[in-house]
Amino acid sequence: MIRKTILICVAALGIGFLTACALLSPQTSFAPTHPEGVETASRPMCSDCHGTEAMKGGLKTFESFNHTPTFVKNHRFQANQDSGTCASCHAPSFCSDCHGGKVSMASSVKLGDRPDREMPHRGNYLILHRMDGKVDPTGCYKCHGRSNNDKCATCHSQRGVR
Amino acid sequence: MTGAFTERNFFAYFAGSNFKSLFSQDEKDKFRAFGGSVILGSASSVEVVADFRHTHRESYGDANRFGADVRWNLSSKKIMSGFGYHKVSADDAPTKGTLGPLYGWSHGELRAWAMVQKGLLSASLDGIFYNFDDKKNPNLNGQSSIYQVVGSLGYQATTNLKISGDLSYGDDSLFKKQVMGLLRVEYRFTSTSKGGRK
Repeated sequence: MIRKTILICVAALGIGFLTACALLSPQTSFAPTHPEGVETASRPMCSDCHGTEAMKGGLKTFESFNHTPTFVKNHRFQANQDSGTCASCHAPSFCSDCHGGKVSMASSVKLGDRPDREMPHRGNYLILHRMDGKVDPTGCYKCHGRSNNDKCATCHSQRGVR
Repeated sequence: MTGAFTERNFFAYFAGSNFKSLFSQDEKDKFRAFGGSVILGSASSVEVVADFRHTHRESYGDANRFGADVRWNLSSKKIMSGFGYHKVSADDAPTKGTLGPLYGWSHGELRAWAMVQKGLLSASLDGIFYNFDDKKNPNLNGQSSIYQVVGSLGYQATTNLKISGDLSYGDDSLFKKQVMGLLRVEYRFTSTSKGGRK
C-alpha cells in the first residue's frame, strides 16, 4: 500500500513537473516589438526573412508562425506557449476581439467582415445551438458558464426552456 | 497534423455556473472526444484541411463531425477565399428535458467565402448553408435547410479608424427570411510604446 502510494506520488510529481516545464516558454528575451516593420496589410510569412531555423532558445521554428491560409485554425498551438511572439506584432485587444469573455455583441456579428476567422454562432445559430449543446456542452460553458449569458437567460430561465 | 483526446466527468464540472437551468450542477454525465486534422499544402497559397472529431456522451450517444476546407490566397494575399463542407452524423436523441421520442440531429454544413482588399477598401462575401437529415425534429419547424449570406464593405479611414458595414440575408430563428444591416465604426485606442499595435 505504501509502495503504491509512493509510486502514485512520484508519477504525479513527474507529470506536474513536465506540465510546468511545458507551460514555461523557453523564449526568455524575445523582442517586445518586432525590430523591423512588417507589412500589416497582408498576412506575414515569418520564414520569408527568418528562414526555417528554430527560434532562439525555443523548439518552434519561425516557419510555424507563418500566417498561412489555415493558420487561424491551429494558432492555439503557437499562442498557448509563445504568446510573446504574437505580442511583438499584435496588441492584446487583437486576441480579445474573438476571445473576449463578456461582450455585448456576438463575435460572429462584430467580425462579420472577417469570414476567414470562422467565428462560432454564424448562420442562425439559435437553431444550431440545440444540436451543439447536446454533442458537447463544454464548448458553450467556456464563454457562457458564469458570464456572457444574458441572452441565454432570455429563454432558458424566464421562459423555462431547459 | 494535429490530434486531441478529451475525457471529462461532468460530476461537479458545472459547479461554477450561476445558470443551473442551462449547465446543471447535478450533471453526472461522462464525455469523451477524440479527433484530429491534416493540413495539405502547408505554407503554400492553397491549403486543404481535413478534420474529424468523434464525441461520446452517455446521455445523448455518439456524434462524428468530419469534413474538409480548401483555402487559398491570391494576388499577394490581397484576395483570400475558402470553401468547405462538414457533416455531423449523430445518434438520434430526445429533445432536452424529455425521455422521447427520438429525433435525428445529423446535418451538413456548406460554407464559402471570399475577402478582397484593395488599398484602403475591403470587401467580403460569406455564405453558409445547413441541411438537416430529419426535418420532423420539432426544433426545425418542418424545415430541412437554412442559409445565410453576409456581404461587407469597409474603409480604413486612418491607421486606427475603420468604417464598415454588413448586409445579411437568410433565415431567422423562426425560419422566416430576414434582412439585417450593421454599421461598424472601429477605433483602436493605442497608448503603449512597447509591443505590437496591430
